[in-house]
Amino acid sequence: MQANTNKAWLGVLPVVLLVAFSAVIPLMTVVNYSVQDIFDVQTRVFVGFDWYRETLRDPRFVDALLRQILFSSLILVIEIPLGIVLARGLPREGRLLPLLLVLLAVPLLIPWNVVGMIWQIFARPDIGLLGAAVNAAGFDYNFTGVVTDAWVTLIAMDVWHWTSLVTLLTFAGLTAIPGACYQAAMLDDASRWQVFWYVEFPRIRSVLVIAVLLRLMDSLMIYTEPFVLTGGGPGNATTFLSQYLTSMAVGQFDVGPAAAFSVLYFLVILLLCWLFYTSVMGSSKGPDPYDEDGL
Amino acid sequence: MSLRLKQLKLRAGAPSGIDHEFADGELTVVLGRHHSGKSALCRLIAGLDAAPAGSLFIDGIDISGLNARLRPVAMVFQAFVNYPNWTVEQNLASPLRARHRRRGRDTAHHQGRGNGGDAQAVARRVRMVAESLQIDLLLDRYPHELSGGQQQRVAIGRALAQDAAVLVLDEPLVNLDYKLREELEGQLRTLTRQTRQTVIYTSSDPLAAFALGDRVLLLKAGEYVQSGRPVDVYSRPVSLVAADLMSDPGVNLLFGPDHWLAVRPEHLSFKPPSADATAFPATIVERETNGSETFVHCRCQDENWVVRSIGVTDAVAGAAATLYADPANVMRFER
Repeated sequence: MQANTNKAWLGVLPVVLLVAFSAVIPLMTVVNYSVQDIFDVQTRVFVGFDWYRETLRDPRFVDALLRQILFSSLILVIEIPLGIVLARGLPREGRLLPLLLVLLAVPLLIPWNVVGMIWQIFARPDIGLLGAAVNAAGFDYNFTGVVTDAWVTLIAMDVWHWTSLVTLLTFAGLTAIPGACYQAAMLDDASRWQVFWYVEFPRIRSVLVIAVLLRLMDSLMIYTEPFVLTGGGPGNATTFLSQYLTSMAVGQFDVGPAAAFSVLYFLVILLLCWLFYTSVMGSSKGPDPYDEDGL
Repeated sequence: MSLRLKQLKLRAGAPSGIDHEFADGELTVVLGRHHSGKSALCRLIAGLDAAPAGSLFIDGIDISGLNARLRPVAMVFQAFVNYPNWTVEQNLASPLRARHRRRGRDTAHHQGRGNGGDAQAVARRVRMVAESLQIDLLLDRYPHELSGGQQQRVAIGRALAQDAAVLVLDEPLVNLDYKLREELEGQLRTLTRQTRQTVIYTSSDPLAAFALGDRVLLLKAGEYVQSGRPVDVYSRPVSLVAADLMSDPGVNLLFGPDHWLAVRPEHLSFKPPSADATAFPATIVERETNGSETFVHCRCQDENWVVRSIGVTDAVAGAAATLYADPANVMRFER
């Protein structure tokens, strides 16, 4: 028999240190800044929740937040159905498939600021292929001057950039469905819509949840592409939370308010993703159909 | 109703077609190894694939050109195929409801009237099928809440509920464990005897042919080999292929100059069964036993042989032994 010692705690120590340095300490530093007013290294005043109150009352923060939510909703509404339609349209086998998959993956491989650059040039009303063509077709289009044009361009860019992700994930889910399921549905005289809803959808559900979650998180954090494409304009029409935060923290060096802003921003993303995940998983009728002896 | 195959080719380019009649109300076990064309046959009967050549008749009516959903054929797949977001009850009823919808579409003016009666008939039928498969207590569950055996019962139930003239089961019990397989096999036999459907059941296990089949149809590489009552095919195989397919483990072979000699593992013994028994000198290689029977692996004239004997046999690896078989059980096939 061994004496009861507490040496096992030493085994946990590396993990505790790792988590502390990678997550807890940086986050708490930000929280620490967010409750102080810092004039210089020596002079700092504890201000409690003042910065939070100020941030929440700041109309520019609220506007940016609403813009952010509108943007995320719009791209989800477009990218998820479009991604599913494309995935269903892909051939399940054959020589064409690898080529199509590579083509689909191309936008995902392009660095984000390059995507912004591409669309900035592509959509320019004077020389851009898209912008000039739209103007030549008789539509007055100028994404640097008109708010709706800026939004349309921004959303088109995001759809172009990220729909492939949804398509590839969905395609992976679809290929895992046994052929017998389709054949049985065929014998049951199911329509195309019924095949999707009763055969495919339940089996790609968990993949779709991941796709929505990834797109939701990513779109809430969007920074680089609109920064390059519109610079947040015209006016503040495409200024999202991350851009406003950057201008506050880096441009004006308001560390306290920026820290409070950061914490709120983080909580907003966490809250929205949590809301989505629990509402979807809560309404699910049990575990994943692929579980254990499931299909 | 009877199902007749006329010069039916299971795959394009097959040298000859199959002529066979599945008699009314009989269960035929289609026996063959992998890629023998068992699944191809099932798919052709169900109408999932078009036949490369030849035709199918149900009660004398040519159904070769008929769309899969219009054929009086129900099919069960090897994979457990159910609709995940429907309950067991809805799954069982789905083909019936689809049929009523279809009928409603075809004769639109009858629709409003018959639905109440239809719904009751469907509910009765579902309950009956569920009871016969012992899943009547699971009607409100979803497929993912069921075990593998229960899921396959639901899939079989979906096929039974249709009360189709022909029921095709493509290796339905392969994915289940041994105990469940035996149990479900027994239930299937009873059920299909009651419904008097014409049943086609594919398998690679000769035991299934004996346990289930009124008839057995042997296939090899997409070609017809032999058919008949399982016992007849077992005792009078027309070829080495037929003998081998109806034997598990496979037959023991000896090569003659112009013929093969084949002996089934269960017909070999270490003591002469009669005075005129044929003797085969051999060397024992290995012994595996499960208590009730023992498989002794031997080398006989440079061939791998297996002896199956009852109970536990004490055979020593490396020892020489003489194997005996009744001359009537030594099958001879010309090359």
